[in-house]
Parts: sequence; C-alpha cells; structure tokens
Amino acid sequence: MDFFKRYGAIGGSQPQSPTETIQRMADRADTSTLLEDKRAAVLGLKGLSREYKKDVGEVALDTLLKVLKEDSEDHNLLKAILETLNNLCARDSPGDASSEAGATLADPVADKFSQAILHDSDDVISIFLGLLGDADFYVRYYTVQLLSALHMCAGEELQQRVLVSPTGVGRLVDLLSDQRDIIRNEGIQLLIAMTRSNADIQKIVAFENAFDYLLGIVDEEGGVRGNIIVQDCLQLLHNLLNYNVSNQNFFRETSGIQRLPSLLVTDPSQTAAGRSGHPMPDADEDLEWTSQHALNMLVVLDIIRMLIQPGNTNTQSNQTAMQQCGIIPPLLQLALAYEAPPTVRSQALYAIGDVIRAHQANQSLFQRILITTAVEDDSNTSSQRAIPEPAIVIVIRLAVGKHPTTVSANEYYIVRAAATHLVQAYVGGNADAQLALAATLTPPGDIGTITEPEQHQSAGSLIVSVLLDWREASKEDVWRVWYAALLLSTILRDHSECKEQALKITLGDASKGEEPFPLINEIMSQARQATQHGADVRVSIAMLTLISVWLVNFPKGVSVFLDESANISFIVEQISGSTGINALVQGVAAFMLGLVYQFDIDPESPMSRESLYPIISKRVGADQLLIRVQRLRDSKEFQYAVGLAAGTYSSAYGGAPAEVYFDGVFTDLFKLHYESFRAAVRLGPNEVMANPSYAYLHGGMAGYAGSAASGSTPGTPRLGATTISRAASPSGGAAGGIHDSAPVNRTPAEPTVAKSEFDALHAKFVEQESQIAELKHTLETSAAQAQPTLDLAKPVNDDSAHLEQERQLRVQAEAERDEQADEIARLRTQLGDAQKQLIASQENCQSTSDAGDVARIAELEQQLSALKLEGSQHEANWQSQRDELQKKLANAEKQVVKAAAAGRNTNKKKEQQQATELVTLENDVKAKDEQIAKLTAQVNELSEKAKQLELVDELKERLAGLEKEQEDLLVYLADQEQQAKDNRAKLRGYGEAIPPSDDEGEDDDDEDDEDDNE
Amino acid sequence: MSSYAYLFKYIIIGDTGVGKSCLLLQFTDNRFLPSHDLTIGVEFGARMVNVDNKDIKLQIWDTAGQESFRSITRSYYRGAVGALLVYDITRRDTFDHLATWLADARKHSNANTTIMLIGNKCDLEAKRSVSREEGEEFASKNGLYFIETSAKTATNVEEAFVQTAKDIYEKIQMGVFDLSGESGGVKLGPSQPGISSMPNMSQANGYSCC
Repeated sequence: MDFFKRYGAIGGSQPQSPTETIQRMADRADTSTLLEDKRAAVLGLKGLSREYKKDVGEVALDTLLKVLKEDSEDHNLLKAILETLNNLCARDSPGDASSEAGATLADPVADKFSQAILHDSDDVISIFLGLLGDADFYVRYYTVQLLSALHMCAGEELQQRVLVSPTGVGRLVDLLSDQRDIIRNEGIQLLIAMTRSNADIQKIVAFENAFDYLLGIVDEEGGVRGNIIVQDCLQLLHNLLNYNVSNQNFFRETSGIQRLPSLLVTDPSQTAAGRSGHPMPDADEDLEWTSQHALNMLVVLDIIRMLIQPGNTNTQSNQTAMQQCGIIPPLLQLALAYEAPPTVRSQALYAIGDVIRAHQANQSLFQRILITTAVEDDSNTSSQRAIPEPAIVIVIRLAVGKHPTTVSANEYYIVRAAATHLVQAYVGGNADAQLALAATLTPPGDIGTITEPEQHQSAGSLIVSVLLDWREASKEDVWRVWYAALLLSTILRDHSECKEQALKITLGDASKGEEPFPLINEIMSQARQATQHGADVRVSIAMLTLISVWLVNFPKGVSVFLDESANISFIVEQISGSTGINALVQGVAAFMLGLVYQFDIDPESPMSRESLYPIISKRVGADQLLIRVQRLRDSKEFQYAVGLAAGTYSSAYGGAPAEVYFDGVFTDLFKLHYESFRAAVRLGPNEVMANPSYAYLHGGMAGYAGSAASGSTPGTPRLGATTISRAASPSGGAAGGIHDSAPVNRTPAEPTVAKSEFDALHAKFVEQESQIAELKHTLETSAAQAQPTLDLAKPVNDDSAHLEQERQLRVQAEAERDEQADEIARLRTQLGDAQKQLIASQENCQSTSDAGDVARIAELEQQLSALKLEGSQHEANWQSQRDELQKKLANAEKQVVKAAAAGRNTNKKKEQQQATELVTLENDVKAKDEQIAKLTAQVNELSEKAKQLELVDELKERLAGLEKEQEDLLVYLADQEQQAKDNRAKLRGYGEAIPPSDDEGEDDDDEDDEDDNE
Repeated sequence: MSSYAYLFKYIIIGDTGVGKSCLLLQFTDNRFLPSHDLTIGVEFGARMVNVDNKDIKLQIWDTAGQESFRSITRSYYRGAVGALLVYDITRRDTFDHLATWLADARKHSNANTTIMLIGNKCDLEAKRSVSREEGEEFASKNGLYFIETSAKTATNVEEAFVQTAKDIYEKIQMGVFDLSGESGGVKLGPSQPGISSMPNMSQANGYSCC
C-alpha cells in the first residue's frame, strides 16, 4: 500500500482507490510531455498490473499501446510497457504445487486483453515482430514472452497476424540463432506452439533455414544425449515435417535425411559438445540412459518413421535415401542396446522395419547384414566367442528369446512386437526372403535345448525350439511362444513352397529307432497338451492359428494333418465340448475343421472328404460349427486384433499385452476365408469343387508372395517400347511402340487347320509365305526405324535459330524418306497381292486336286518368286538411299557442331547438350549400320532361297515386264478369288474345314515363321 | 547429385493460372499436367543445374497466385535470390498486373534478387494477346531478364531457370552476395572444402546424398 501513498502524494489528495490511481497514471502516461513522467506512470502501471490485472488492463491498455507506438525508441519505457503487457496477457498459472505442473487455467481476463491487442487497428503485432530484432536483451526477451502469452490465449489469430507480416516468421526463426540461450529457448517454445498445426507457418519456418539451425543446436547441445533443449528442437523439427509433404521434400533435398544417422549416435564423444571437450553433465554415467536421453531419442525415431510411412508418395525415395546414408546400423545398435529402455529399442526396430518395408533393395541389403553381438542374457556374461550372425536371426531372437531380467515380460512385450513387425516387413512382398527363412527351419537337435544358450541357432530352428519347448519358454513369458508361432505363420503365410519345406521337417531320430514324426503334427500334439494341461490359453490359440495358416490352400499339408488321427479327434472334441473349454480355442478349432474339410482334396489324403463329411454334418453339425466360428469372430479378443491390424499396427506398439490373443496374420486369413468357409461347410463332399472360390487351386498356388512378383517374372524377356533391334522376331511386328506405320490386322487365336492330303503342297506355300512375311516385316521395321532417326534430329534443331540450313536438310531428308515410304508401301501392296494370290491358290488346291490347277499354282509360285526378287531389289535400292540419307545426316551433324561452335561459344551448356544429342545420333546411325548389315544378310539369304526355286532363270527374264503385268494379274486374281470362293463354298458343302479369311492364313504363317526363328 | 557448389533459392510469382506450377513441374519432373490444381500457399521443388561447370542446386518455391495467399507468399521474397515473374501471353490482365507484382517483389525482396520475366504459354500463338515486343519492353524498362516459355512443350523452360542461375552466379563472382549471410537465398554447398555456411554439417559431409 506504500505504493498508493506514494502516487497519491503526487496528486496531493487523500489515499485513493486502486482504480483511481490506475486511471490517474494512465492519464499521465497518455498526456505527459516529459519522458520521465511517462516512464514513471508506466512503471506505476506495471507495478499494479499483477495484482490489479483487470483494472490496469481495462483502463490503461489502449494508452500503453499508444505510448508503445509513439515512444518506442526509449528502451526503458519500452521494457516497462512490454512487461506490463506481459502481465496483462499471461494466463495465471496455478500457484500451488498440488495442481499439474505447467498447466495454465483458462483466464478470460488475459484472453480479453490478448484479443484487444491482436485486433489493434494499427497492427501493433507488426511492431512487436519488429522489436524481435531489437538489440536490447530485455526488449527482445519480453517481446518473445508477450507473443508466447498471446499465442496461449489466441493462437490462431496471432498466427494469422504473423503471416500477414512479410518478415514476421523470418524474425521468429532468427531467434533460433540468437546467441543468448534464454531468448533462443523462448523462441523455440514459441515456434513449437505456432507450427503445431499451421502448415503455412511450417513452410515459411522451413524456408527460413530452420532445419539447419535446429540440427545445429541439437549438435551443440550434445546430440540426443543433450538436455531438454534438444528435445524441444527435435519436437520443432517434428512439427515442421509432420503432415507436410512440401517440407518433407525440402528436408530431403537439403540433405536433412543424411543428418539423421548422426542423431542416433549415443556416444557422447561423437557430438559437438563432446568433441570440443565440454564435460557432459552426466559424464560419469556415460552410457546410462536418462529419461531425457530416451525422450530425445524417441522424437528422432518418430521423425524417421514419419518420413517413411507406408503408402506415401515420398516413402520410397526416403527409404532409399535413409538406407544410403547408413541409417540401419545405428538403428540396429539401438535395437540391440541391452541397457536402452524397451520403448527406444522397440521404436528402433519399427524404424528399421519401415526403412525396408516393401523396398526390395533395402530388404536385400538387410538380408546381408551380419552382426557380432554379445549374448543378451545377462546371466551369460562369460566371454563367448562372438561369431557374426545375420541380423535377421538376431532380430528373431529379440522376438522369441528371453527378456532381460531388468525388464518385466509385459514391458519387454513391445520389443517382441517390434521385432516381429520388422520380420514381417522383411518378408512382405519378398518371397525369396520368406523361402530363405523357411529353409532354416530345422528340427532342434534335442527337445529341451532351449535351456542352452540361444546363441548360434538358425532363425528357423530358434523359432521351432521355442515353440516345441513351450512349457519352459512360457514359464515366465508366454509371449515368447506366442511370437514364435506368429513368426512361423509369417514365414509360411501364402507361400506354398515354404509350407512344403516346413512340412518335410520331422522329429525323432531314425537312427535311434524312433519313428519320424512331422513337425506339423508335433505342434498339434503340443497344442493338445497345452490345452489339456490348462496352460495360458494364448499358447493353444497361437499354435492352432499357426496350423490354420499352414493348412489353408495346402491340400498336401491337410493330408499329413489327417494322417494323425488324434488331430481331428482333438479338434472335434474342442468344438463339441461344452464345459471347461475356452470359447476362443473352440472357435479356432471350428474354423480349422472347416479349412481341413475345404482343402482335403489331395488324392492321397488318408481321410477323404466323404469320410470327413459325416463328422461335420452329423457329429458336430454345420450349424454348430458356424456358431462357434461366429462367436470367435464377435469376441472382443478377436475384434481387438482386427482393429490392431487395421490401424497402424506398429504405432500401437503391438497393442496392450493384456488384450492381445490373436495376430494379424490369422485375422487376415480369417477375413479372407470366412465367407468361403461358411459356404463350404454346408456343401456335400462332391459339391465343393463347384464353388468358384476354389478356381485358384487349379491355377496354381504360388500365393501372394509369388503373385506380387508376377509383374516381373524373371526370365520373361520384355519387349520394351524402345527396343529397335528386333527385326529378327516377326511376332514383334509393327505392334511395337516405335512407329505404327502399318498395323497388321490379325486375329490373336486362329482355329487350327486340319492337316489334310495337301500337306506337301501346303508346306511349300507356308515356306514361301513365311519368306514373304519376313521380307514384308523387314520392310516395315526398317520403315519404322527410319522414322526415329529423323525424329532424333528434331531436338537438335529446335533450340537453335542458327541452324536454318540444317533444318532445310532435314526437310529434304524427310522428303526422301517419304519417297521411300511410298516405295515401301508399293512393295507392300505387291506383296499383299502376292499373298492373296497364294492363298487363293492354296484354297484352289485344297478344293481340287485337278492337275490344271496345280500347273496354275506352279505358275503363281513363279510369279511370286519374281515379286519377291523384285522386293529384294527394291530393298537394296532403298538401302542405298538410306546410306545417302545417313551421309546427309552426318553432314548435318557436322554443320550443327560448327554452327554451335561459332554461334554459341558463350552458351556452353547448350553446346554440351547438342553434343550429347549428336553422340546419340551418331550411335543411332551406327546402330542403323549394323541393322542394315543384318538386313543385307537377310536379303541375301532370301535371294539364295529364291535361286533354289525351280525356273528361276525364266522368271528373271520376265522380271522386267512384271510391273506392267501387275494390273493384269490383279484382274486375274479377282477371277481366281471368285473361283476360290466357289470352290470353298463347294467344299464347305462337303463339310471340309476351310480357313475363313485371308488374314488368318497370314497369321498362320507368321506363327510358323516365329517357330522357325526360335 | 550428391554435392553441389551453390544453393540458390527461387520463388515463382505471378497471377493465378499463368502456369507457375506447371513451369516448376516441367522443370523438375519433365512433366506437364493440363489440369493442375490450384496451389495452396506454397509448394516446394528442387533440381540441380550446371553453370560454368559448377553444380548448382535450385530450391524453388512455387507460390499461389490467388490474392488471398498474397500475404503468405510475401514471406518468401526476402529469402529468395531468384524470382521468376510469370504472366500468360494469352491473358492481357496477367500482363497488366505485372507492375503490381514487381512493386511487391522490389519492396519485399533483397535488392540483389535476380528477376526473370516469363511470358508463359507461348505454344498458344493463336490466342496471343500480349506481343513479344511488349514483354521485352516491360523487361528492359524495369531491368529484368525476359523469356517466353511454354510449360506444355517445355520450350525455354530450362533456359528460364538456368539463365537466372547464371546471372546469380555472375553476381557471386562479382562479390555482390555475402555468402556468410543466412537469409540471402544463396548458400555454399556442403562440399566446399574449408568454408561452410552450415557450421554443424561436418558430420553430414561424408554421406552421399540421395
């Protein structure tokens, strides 16, 4: 109250009420001409602003803002105003320690004043943003604080105001490089708040180089081993990238991903602080994982995973970038860090899974990683000789091995879930990896080896041994068995080869006189024992669901399964029992019985569908079976697993252990087969095959892994659209993507023509026709090739105005090409005619064995050979023209080079471009040369063949006059055709099989031709 | 594409619908989309170019042309060293607005920012309503580079970006830019031995980029 007396004294009147004093001081601040008076008044208001927040604000806010705008040069005044405004706008934080730390109460008074400031007509916010650049520490500091307070009360409005200022966000980002840590840290806090949801601000912050600043600060502060500032920086980085594709691209383009691996390094000597010799705050406990350390690391891992979310456009390129910058080794190190918290280890495993998921290159790289590691089991500290093992084995050991004694089974659960996720990411769409893992499935040397060190077992035998020794394994941690079953499901899932591989595994040493017992039945037997001995129900469920995954689409497995009579009786027992039987086990058993019935189609099945049918229809009853399965489907345990699999399985840390009974592999299978299951169990033993859903069984059972790869089946030559050099394969034809100059009209599947008594003649025709087809095709291909060559010249021209001359040349060349095309078209017509003639004659021949016809045919043959020869000549002619054209092109190239050199000395870039284009052109021409050589060879071959024909000499004589005769020939041909038609009709009358059209005849020949080539 | 000598930041500005995003897409992806969605706020793209045998990384921010985004896009002027000011040769209004755009750019950007005036859609000669000469005149009057492009046929698109980079590069050679400054829109690449604008990048230097 001292205060009031003092200020009251100034007025010389009686002690006043606070309101009066505030009013008086506000007036004075407003009207005083002397700076000292103003300052004193503002300081007075400041002093009252905490206790009489409401009064000060209501009375003096406008005045304070006015003074701020008018007298912002005076730092003391400025500081006092800012501090007062801070007091007015800050939400009261609860004073007592009992309430939640850091929480602020809703504060209508502060909100009101904040709104008033934000809606100030003179845009006072831009003044604040300007003050962020003020050199004075307190001015800057109070301004940041004030903006933070305003953001707390009215975040969105403040964001809009900041965005309006062209330099606003830039000034906020500048705070990150403030040398004074207090201001910098306040700035980070403010930016975290402002970037939480505003994509525009996120982008501008990134544009202002925030990535560099933030990663720099993290490094300075000791990397992930640093303090809470590191966490804040990482959090801000996270905000900038989350849901913001543009920023994610920018992050990758600024080599941000390349800097991520260094963030995973936990060795303090490798960070900036460590390097510069600063003693770390926790230098003594070097490798201790503090909670701060873990929090920092979790944000880094979250950022990594955010960049490679499945299905995003950038995921593939980010995965590649991450792998290339070596992110996997430090992640693996984290995953295997015995002392790290399970959350960190789990997230590291998930991150590795995300890096390799659906990314073939990364998957195969992961396959090759070898790790040398100490035994994780801390009871086994004795020095063991460390042998490098594949990373996948170590990951599987994480999933099914013992949990560290310092961590409880349920805490360690998330590590198992993550390791399994990684294995699934590794085999997903990677049939080879799946098979490789299946190949390591071997029976454990002796049951009970699980107590032995788990070191140096193969991936598969590790899984099998845990599964079979479930009693020991589940003693303290049932999840070992559960995840072992899930991993085996993952390995077998939808991959018939893997299922087959696993089916071959037998237990029992034949040399000791033991009967070999298939693994599948051994697991069933263990499931039976687990169920009967009242083990954790998860053991039975895990084993039975595994067997279901195994048997589906796998009749051979069903046979082996049925070979052991105890299996079916156990299942039936479970389904029909009413008391003391777990409803979930019952449901799975019912589903299994349905599957067994559905897929009991192996001819060697020891128990046919006929003998199974009565069990389903009478003993159990189809209704009963369906009800059991429905109950399973509707159970909350099953629904939980469905939800878990549908959502991001990974981000949920594998779910809450208490809720988890089923895995995603089984729920997927269930969803896929539920409908067919319902239909199948109602069908009689011989009806099932009619169900369309079995069609795929006959089509092959490669499974999803196989079908995923079917797009690029190895060994299938692919005719790329740009493949030019396939003149030798007529079937490629004009259908290729080069230039569709004359698409041939063909029918893909031709009816088979019955071989008749005309075989000999026919064979001859075929031979000749195929030759014609070949020639024709050669011409087509060449024509098509001529096109791209010329097109190639185009870009060279386009960008240069200096190359007019060259352009003319091109026009000329094009004209020549057109000429050639005409020539080719003409040749083609001739060939087509000849073909028609041939076919007509063929038909003639088939309809009658009249000798006169044969003679006529012989004549036709001769004409045909003549035509063919003419074709070769044209071919040769055309070739020479092509040579000429090439020369001209080469000339043009030279001119381009010259022109480019002369006119474009400065424009080196363009020159280079042209040069490369010229090189391409040259290469092309070379390729053309080769092709022409090939063509020549072919033409030679053809003429050889032609020579072998009879009466070649005579034909040569007639060659000169042939072109004139062509027209006559056509008339004659029409005749022939008419005749042929008649004959055909006649023949059809006799019920002969006659090819209905010309085209088909041609197709037939193409087919033959292809065969010849092959 | 691992290392680069310099990094330049560009912005693309101009009225809505003149083809800014298409220019960027043609430049970065060699693609053209006849119907491009309206840009919301700002989108990012990047590509490497070569000037004087030096690899230069261009980071390009493609801004929304709509008036409602104007205040947001202004935030990008300050940090850019190159600005592509685009109009549509078939729409005179987009040309008429150039003065406003230029004033805005001059006001908010760095004095040394290179501005390239681009008359886009030059493939639509039949619909042309702004002559080439007019564009040239506006450019020379305001000291801008000028080029007519077509994002559709890719005509001059490369040139527009590269020519801008060349000018900036020459300015660097003349010492116009202070490379140690953080907000200039020019940075030395991480591969530069000795000097680095990113003081804490030393660890990242060893890694090859994506």
